[in-house]
Amino acid sequence: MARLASLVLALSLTAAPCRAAPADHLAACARGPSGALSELACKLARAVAADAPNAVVVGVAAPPSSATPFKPGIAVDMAVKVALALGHGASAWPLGEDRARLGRFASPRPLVVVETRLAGDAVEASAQVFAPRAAASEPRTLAPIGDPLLRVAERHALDAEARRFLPPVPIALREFIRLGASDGDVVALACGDLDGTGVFSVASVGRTFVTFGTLASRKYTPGARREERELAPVAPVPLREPLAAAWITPERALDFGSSDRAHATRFAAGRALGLDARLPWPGGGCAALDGLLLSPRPTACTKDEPVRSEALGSEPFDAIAGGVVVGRDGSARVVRAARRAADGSVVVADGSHSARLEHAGAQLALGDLDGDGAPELVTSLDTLDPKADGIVVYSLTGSTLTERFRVVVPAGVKALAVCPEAADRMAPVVMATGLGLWAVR
Amino acid sequence: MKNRSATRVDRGRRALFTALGAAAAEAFVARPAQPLGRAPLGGTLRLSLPFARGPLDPHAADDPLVALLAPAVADTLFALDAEQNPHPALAAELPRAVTGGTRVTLRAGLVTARGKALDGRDLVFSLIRARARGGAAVLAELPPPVRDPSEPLAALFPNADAKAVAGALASPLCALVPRGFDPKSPDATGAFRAVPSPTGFVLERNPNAARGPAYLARVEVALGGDLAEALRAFESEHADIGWLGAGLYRARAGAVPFQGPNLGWVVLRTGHDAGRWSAPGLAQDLADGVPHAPLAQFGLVLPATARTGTAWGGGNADLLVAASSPQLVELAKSVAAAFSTQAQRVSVRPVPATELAERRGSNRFALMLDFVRSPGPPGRATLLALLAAANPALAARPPRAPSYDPTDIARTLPLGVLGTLRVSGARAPNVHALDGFQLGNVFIAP
Repeated sequence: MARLASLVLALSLTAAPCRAAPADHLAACARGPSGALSELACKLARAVAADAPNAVVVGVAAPPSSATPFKPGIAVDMAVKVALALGHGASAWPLGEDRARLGRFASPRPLVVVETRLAGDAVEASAQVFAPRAAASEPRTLAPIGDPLLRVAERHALDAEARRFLPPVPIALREFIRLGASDGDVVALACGDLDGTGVFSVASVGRTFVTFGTLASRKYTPGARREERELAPVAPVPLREPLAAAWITPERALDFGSSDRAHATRFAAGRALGLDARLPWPGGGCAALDGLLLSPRPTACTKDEPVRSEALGSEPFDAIAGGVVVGRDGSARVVRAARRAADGSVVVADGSHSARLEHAGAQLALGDLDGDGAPELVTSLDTLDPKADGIVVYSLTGSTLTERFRVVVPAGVKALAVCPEAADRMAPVVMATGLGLWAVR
Repeated sequence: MKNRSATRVDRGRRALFTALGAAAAEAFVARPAQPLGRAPLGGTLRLSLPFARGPLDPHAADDPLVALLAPAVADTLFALDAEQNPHPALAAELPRAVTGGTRVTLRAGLVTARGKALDGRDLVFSLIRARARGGAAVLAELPPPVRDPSEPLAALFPNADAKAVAGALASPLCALVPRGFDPKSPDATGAFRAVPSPTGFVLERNPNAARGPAYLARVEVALGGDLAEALRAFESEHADIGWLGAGLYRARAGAVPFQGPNLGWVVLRTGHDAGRWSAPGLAQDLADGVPHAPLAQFGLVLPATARTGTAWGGGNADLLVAASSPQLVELAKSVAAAFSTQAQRVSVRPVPATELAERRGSNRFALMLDFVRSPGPPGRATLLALLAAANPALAARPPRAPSYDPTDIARTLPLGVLGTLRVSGARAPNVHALDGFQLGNVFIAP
């Protein structure tokens, strides 16, 4: 039986019928919003392309366990994605294989073995390139597969595309965690994978400093601080009550700005770049001030960047949020939220649907808490009394906002951010309060 | 039985509430509370104040109306944090020691409410102007500022200490104004632009405000009435703030008491016409002899420790007071009554502010009830203010004072401190953030 299987594999690989169409896939792998698996596949393909012309891509699947909770289907899915990204005659093996069976693979074409696993709360994919080898006339004489010619690995934060291979998690409050002290004047927060390690970076934007920290599991570690006056001059006409926004972009840059400063700043790879606008609009693009408020029309952050979405109505806002939400199919879409200054209502839109919340506080954040591809809106309460403050989490389904839970935060909520998704629980919501940084997860 | 996740939630909440107590104390001493929701924008605040209409000169140290309203129109170069440390406000940075002195540099792009761009020339103009007026209290110790030839937005204080410069320029008496400033039509960088109106002033939101435009769209300031009229306006809901009370005949429904900041001190001056009663220290003895009870109702915060004072023995005399301040006139009546006996009569004589200033300068008066604006937080600023009020030259070389209590300081001066003038009264329930009486921060809840 084993002999037969080996033969079938060898024949199949020799005459693999479904090849990826030649395309400029590697160019399409350029940085930009896409699903975690799609981006990982692109990166792996880009790394191995030169060593694996017309490769056969095989996904290695491990049985689901607490250590490897991904469902086996992720192996084939990744193999197909890598093959598509390789293009130029690459093909994907239609079954998820285990390591023991890889030794029986014989192929006249280079073999790319893709393995996907969880690394903390990130998904890590690796690709190994093996040299072609001919099928043996007698399977028992087939030499061991040997060492790979090349091995590469990449990590990416979890999202709905990857999470569909994990057990679902509920949106429910499990714990409050005090992360640590923060400046008393925090006006915006951002959380995301800033350096590609899969560890969440938390950026706290105050009125004087921007502070970076890392959040791994329950542990927050404060890091570098930058004085904002080094990054942007004071605005000629700042606002008495600052408007601010920050987010970590899919390109792993921190965009942040406040009405205190003459322009927003982009922080990437340790370098700061002044933007042409006053505030970033999380999700993409920037926002301009309209008198004492924010214009509803997103603007370009630099003259080279496109504006990524339409205006959210016509009335000015006093708070904005947004994010790139990845669907289960790997497609990414920009979801924006904004609070109308006139009545405190919040509008949420993703380009095809919009919903309205009648009343909310001025701290907003957007993200996919449970990784189902539908965004969650997190808001503070509309109060000037810290003791009466709290956060409320809503899910946006189509044009409907459904409240999921609310938490009293008697120290007052000064800023909110949603972190990338976690493997075994709801994505953390980080908040700056009168008592420092806290996380709800 | 609790499940594990519920236990974690409870523990987290307990931690949050426990920490709340600790941080409340920290916030009290560290920094003011930060708003969480947004302060509503817009609306009109109506004030009816017992002061006569007059120029609004931020550099004036003798006008309680100026102490009340000028900070809404003009800003300082530096602001003080809760620990009284200066930090840049209109300045680009803290004063910097350079060759030849200390440099103060303006933020780039500052524009007044009426559209005048500001640079180093305006900075020097402002400080020279302030130094010749009430700003002498804090500037007299420093050398006069000059233009910095190498920096168009800067001024230089030759041979001055950077820390002393920052402290002085945090005083509202050194506010930045443009060259050609006219106090009858004041123009600066504050939260509001002052526009004279038939009844007083209208403060309109300044879209160019260098420290942020006001939340309110406008403040209508009705002037010219007396204390009764101001209270009547609040009681009848024609004003949003009750000056010294919640109503003339009865308290307005829903009125909320408030206490604002100390504006300065009400002082009793003794002049040349008082003869031997003009000797330094006697004015404070006379002030100590004035019964406290009638004064407290006029917004005066009296010295904590009552001292046995001296009764006026200088014969018949006029007690001069600014006619533009009915509140001071009422206080003067109480002082005059305390000084009058069957053998001598002290008469209150309200005079125009210009005449009061002339008499003060020439020392041609017997008794004068005057106002001295506070140039900064209690402490050395109190010493400098009272010295300058007695004689600006004294502030140039201030003595070491064993106490910064104003009544102790006054014992060596020809003026005595009756008490501290504090903004207090009642507000309409929808008016918020009045405590500091920083009108730019005030907002009206819908």
